[in-house]
Amino acid sequence: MQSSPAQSAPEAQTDRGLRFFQRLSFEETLFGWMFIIPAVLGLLFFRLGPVFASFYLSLTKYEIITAPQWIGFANYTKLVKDALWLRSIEVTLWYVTLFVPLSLTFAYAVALLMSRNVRGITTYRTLWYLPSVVPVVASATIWRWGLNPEFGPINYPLKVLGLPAPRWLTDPDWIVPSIVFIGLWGLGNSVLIFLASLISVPRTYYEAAEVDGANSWARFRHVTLPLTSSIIFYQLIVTVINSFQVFGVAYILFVSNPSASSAGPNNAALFYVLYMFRNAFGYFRNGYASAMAWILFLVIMLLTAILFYSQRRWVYYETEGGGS
Amino acid sequence: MQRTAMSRRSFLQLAAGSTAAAALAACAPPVAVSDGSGAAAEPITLNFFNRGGQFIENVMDQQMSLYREANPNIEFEINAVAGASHQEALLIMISAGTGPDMWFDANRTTGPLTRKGVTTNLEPYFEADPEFNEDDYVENVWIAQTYDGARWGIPWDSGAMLMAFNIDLFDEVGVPYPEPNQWMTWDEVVELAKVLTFDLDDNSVNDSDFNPARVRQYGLIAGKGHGRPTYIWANDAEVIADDGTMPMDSDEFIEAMNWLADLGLKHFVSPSPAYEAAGEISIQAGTVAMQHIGVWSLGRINQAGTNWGTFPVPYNKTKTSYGHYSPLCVFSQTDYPQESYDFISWACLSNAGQQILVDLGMQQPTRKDLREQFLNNSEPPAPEYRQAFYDAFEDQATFRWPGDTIGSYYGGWYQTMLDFWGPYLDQHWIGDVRWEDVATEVRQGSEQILQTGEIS
Repeated sequence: MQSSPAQSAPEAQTDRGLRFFQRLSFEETLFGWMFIIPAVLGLLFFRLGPVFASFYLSLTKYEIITAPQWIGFANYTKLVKDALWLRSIEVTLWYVTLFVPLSLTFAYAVALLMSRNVRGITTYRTLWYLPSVVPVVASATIWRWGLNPEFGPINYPLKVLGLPAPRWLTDPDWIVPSIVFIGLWGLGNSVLIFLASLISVPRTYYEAAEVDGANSWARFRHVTLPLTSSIIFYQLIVTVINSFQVFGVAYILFVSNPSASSAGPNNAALFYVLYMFRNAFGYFRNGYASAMAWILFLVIMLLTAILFYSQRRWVYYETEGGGS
Repeated sequence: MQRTAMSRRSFLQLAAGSTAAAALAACAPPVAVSDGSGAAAEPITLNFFNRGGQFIENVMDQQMSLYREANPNIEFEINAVAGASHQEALLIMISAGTGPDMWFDANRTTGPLTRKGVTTNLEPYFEADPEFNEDDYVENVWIAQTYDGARWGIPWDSGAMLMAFNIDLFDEVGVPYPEPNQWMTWDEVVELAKVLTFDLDDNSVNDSDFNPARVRQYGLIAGKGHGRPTYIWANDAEVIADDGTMPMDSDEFIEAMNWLADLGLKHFVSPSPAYEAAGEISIQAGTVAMQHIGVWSLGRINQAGTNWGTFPVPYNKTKTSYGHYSPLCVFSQTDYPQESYDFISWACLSNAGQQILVDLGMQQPTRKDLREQFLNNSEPPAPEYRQAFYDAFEDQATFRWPGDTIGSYYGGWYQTMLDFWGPYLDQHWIGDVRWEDVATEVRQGSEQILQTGEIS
């Protein structure tokens, strides 16, 4: 049954969807639920259950092997006065501020290069992707050597050339940039996603732009960017969420290294999740750590909501107002 | 032959039914099988959580194998974590309800774990154990496991801390060896270290072309971890005073901390984070001439084939020695407390169990009757150097331990203090601050930890 010409495309689609479900028999509905119930139960018990349990624990004093004691919002009020918590926020925000724009720009730029049809492009794409499959422990270990200020492959040529060679992992001002740098090394997945998006832009748009006299920059600005903006938006959301939760590299480089301190000089590597982990499993303060987790969750949710609100201004979806 | 087609509905019904039946079967409790042989020693599996890497695992494997010969009904299930993150792994296991029955703990974590109720008070087991006799053991071996008047672990590895020196590196330079009972002052050891420190171009520290950023051999590594308090006391400063304060901002404390940092920053005889090295810096790697070590490194130094000796830790005002033991502990919620105690007491206190530790260089024996075996071991260091470990531990005129003025090893909050001190120490060792810049803040935070166990 054709949708009414007077209906808009989204309304027609919704209408068709409702009619589909109304046509299902009881048995088909039953089997449908039977097949999705394992996933739903898994979501409830292993995802939502712990989330709500952690909220309850955040209102208690809980030390793992003893029963939780109700203390209301005391954990939250204590956080505000915790200098280390504030420091962890500062370190994390600094990392997010650096990493998000750099990673998106860098991954997009590499994807643009990888979208060219040149000889050996498959090899180049593989080489760019390989670092992203290296486990975080191996990656951090490699970079601990790589960022050695005296003998590492980064600083040694800088010193030979007489250029400034930072103490990457021992200078408080360079620790967060170092971890950003390590993160940029493993951007293969982002590159892959951007590459898929770039390749899927229809050639007809570029041809039409060329006919209209657009140069390469104009084609990039008015065709490539808008048509990949939805993927950029997706990557922005994912990168923001992940960058607030950075933990592995910092843990391997600083906490698990017996010759290092807990979180770098001047707590320069005291990321939010690292401090939360230390409270939970170092100090036995699981209620306190749960409060930290909920604050992190709310902050990320707020930022995500702001980004979703902002998408109206700059994200283009091809189906909006488009054809059926 | 007639083929029967199954409808999609029938297939789905069959699949759903089979899945449900399989799920029910998997959830059914196991049925005990009786072999009709009557009552016998029930097989027990004890879960042991190990730490410290392959060397320690090998030692523990030998102990467990020997123990099983006399106790065939005991099986061991071993979880192991190398590196410094064993505490987190242990707590994750406990929080998941899969805590081990017993584990090899670190002296820095026994106190916090005990205060949180994770360890078992072993005093009732000692009292009930006919094999246990207090007089069999060297004094002071229990210090790191004693809290609130009870013992919560049994010493397994470690012992005294001393300076180890590489005999071959001394021979290369033609410098006389330190005597095993020779107490050097700080100035003397620094001057000695200078002639033993060389850069990649073989310039010594005293040469004008010496490059501190390109050192191939250091003269000295002072103990900045476990051994750090030795230098504090050796300068007449206190870590924890008998009134419960922590005078980490006293002139003597500041002097000692700055001296330790200056070894790398000013004298260039010690590695420093200000000049990071490319490879391992240790006495067993042959890249340092003198190193402050614990006796628990004996086996690993010998494994590297190092020709070495010992001498007391240098002092400035007061001769000071130190040592500690790390324990085996029993989980407070284990289902097998007696069996767990039986194993750890055998591994730590029995003659047979300790012989393995002594032979493999894990321990300065806590048993008095193994003293001669330790001293006369054919492995390096020579007997006179091995005697120095006992001299360090048993000389009550020099022996100190953190909290000996208040009767508790760091008050039971050692790990928490380490976490608090870490960032300050990093800045200090790099040279961004001198100790007087942070001393007051460190003191206030440390005293709060000592009183409350809380960092903030």
